[in-house]
Amino acid sequence: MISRLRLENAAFSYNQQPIFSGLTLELQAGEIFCLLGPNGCGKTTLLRCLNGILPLKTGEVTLQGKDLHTFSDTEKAKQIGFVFQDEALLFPYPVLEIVRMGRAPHLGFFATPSQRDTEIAEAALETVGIAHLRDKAYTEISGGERQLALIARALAQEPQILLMDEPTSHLDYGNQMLILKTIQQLSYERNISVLIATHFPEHALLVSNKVALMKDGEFMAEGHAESIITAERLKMLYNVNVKVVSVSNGENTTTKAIVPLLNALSSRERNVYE
Amino acid sequence: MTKKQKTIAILLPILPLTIALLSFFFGRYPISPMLLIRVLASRVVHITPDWPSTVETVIFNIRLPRILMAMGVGAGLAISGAAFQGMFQNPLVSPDILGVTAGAGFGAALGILISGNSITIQVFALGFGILAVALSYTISRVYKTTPTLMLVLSGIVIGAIFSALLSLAKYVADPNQKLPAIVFWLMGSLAAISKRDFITTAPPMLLGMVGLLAVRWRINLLSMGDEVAQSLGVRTERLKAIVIICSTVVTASAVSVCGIIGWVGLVIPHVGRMLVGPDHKVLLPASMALGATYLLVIDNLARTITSAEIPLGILTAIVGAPFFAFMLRKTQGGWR
Repeated sequence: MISRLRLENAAFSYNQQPIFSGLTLELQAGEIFCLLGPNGCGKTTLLRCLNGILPLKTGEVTLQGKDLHTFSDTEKAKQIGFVFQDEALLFPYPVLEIVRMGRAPHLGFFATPSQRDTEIAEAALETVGIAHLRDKAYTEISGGERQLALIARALAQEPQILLMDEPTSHLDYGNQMLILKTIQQLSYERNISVLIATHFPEHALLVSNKVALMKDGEFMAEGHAESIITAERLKMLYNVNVKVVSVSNGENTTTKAIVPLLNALSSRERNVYE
Repeated sequence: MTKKQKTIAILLPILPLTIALLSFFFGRYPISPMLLIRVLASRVVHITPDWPSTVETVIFNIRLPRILMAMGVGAGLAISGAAFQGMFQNPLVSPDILGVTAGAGFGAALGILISGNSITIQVFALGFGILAVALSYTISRVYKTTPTLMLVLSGIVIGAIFSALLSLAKYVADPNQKLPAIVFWLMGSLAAISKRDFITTAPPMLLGMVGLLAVRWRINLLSMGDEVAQSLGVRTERLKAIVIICSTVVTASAVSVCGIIGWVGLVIPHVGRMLVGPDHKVLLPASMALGATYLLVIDNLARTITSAEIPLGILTAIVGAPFFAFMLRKTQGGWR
């Protein structure tokens, strides 16, 4: 089976400074893939390369088995939706207008959105559960609602792949779970493949099929979330002591959970002072 | 858009047309409404003229070109301003951000210095206006992209250079004839607009405005930032170039015939946003209607307040700035 999106032996550098190298990953249909790693490890850059916004130095990205460069900008945007991290906006567009912008790759250069495009945008709002915000100004809704609106915009592109850059980073606990649930739904019900760069290993355990742990521009480990996310690896990745425990979720199955241990962290800091 | 905004957007075009019709009656030579209707009608149906030929000259050679030009310049500056504010994602941007007026000002001064002939002045103003923008654009291009900040900064650099050159031109100008001519040109006026001026500048201005209208929805995408627009399949560099070229053609043509008229391109888009909302699909045409109306009103004031014409650039600011301040206070914030 051809993977939907594939990255092969990729390297990128910015002003001669290498950001990452030797990265290979595959995204299958309907899969949720989490990219974990500390700040500055190159996650965001990698997402931009996968979308073709930034050019790889070496290696290649293949979309549906074909080199990404062979796709036109609009063809690419019909396949890949990108959900950016906190988009600050100056003009108070209504939410519906923001979502309608997702129709851009489907429209001719001089065209404006039609009734059908509006209907698709409304359906996207419905899918992420914020249809009631349709006419509200984007600048006046909450952070969680904004993130949902951006997901809806990406959905209006009708893509098969969603790339998400820290979609839960500025949100409260409830909104984090709401976003994760939405992502899970998109994967289950629409068979959309989702690649998420995130700071939360718990989120990877909750929703993802696969994870890659990224450190200093390389993948430290890659595979199924349950087997890859261990206390040792998280210690290596974030320099934090944690316990990974199994919790019964009420039914006959168990979920893994991560418990950070602050006392252990402070012992390291004590060493610094001594 | 709310219902109210929709109604406003539909009714807006009536405004400049009404004011345009009224504008025929302002001026030193009195023309009654009945006379105007009959003179206009005589061009279509056969009416034996029982009026002096001066009336026709005033209507067709003086007032009509001036009214059309005021509408064109007002609409052009306003739509360019609205497009630029969207593209630069900055409500403080006006059409001269890339140095077009500074370049045109210097070009006009140079034209006045070497000949004083009105065609030379116009051609020089147009040429240097476009040259200034071309220079800003070239300087701002890094790695095949034109980041917004780079564009703004290079615009400031080029603007400063041409302002200095303009000062130089003023400094060396003959203080009895050339210097006043330069100073008056810079203040802007529609007083000397002839039929020929209108015929030469209308086509490029119309073309530029049609270009901007054609991509007006895409300016929404540009206003989301380059990366977001690219992720939506927009070739941002090409779109930016189209917006810059169209706006520059419009602004440079306008400035070349009537001098520097500030404030319209900055303020009118804000008024437009207050009335019809931020969507550029509606905002651009709305700004055109508002800009045309505004400059018509200002020009009517310019030729009626005192027996001597007041330069337009002075009035657009004196009337525009307090009005803008009032609107800002009323809407408690501004860019909406």
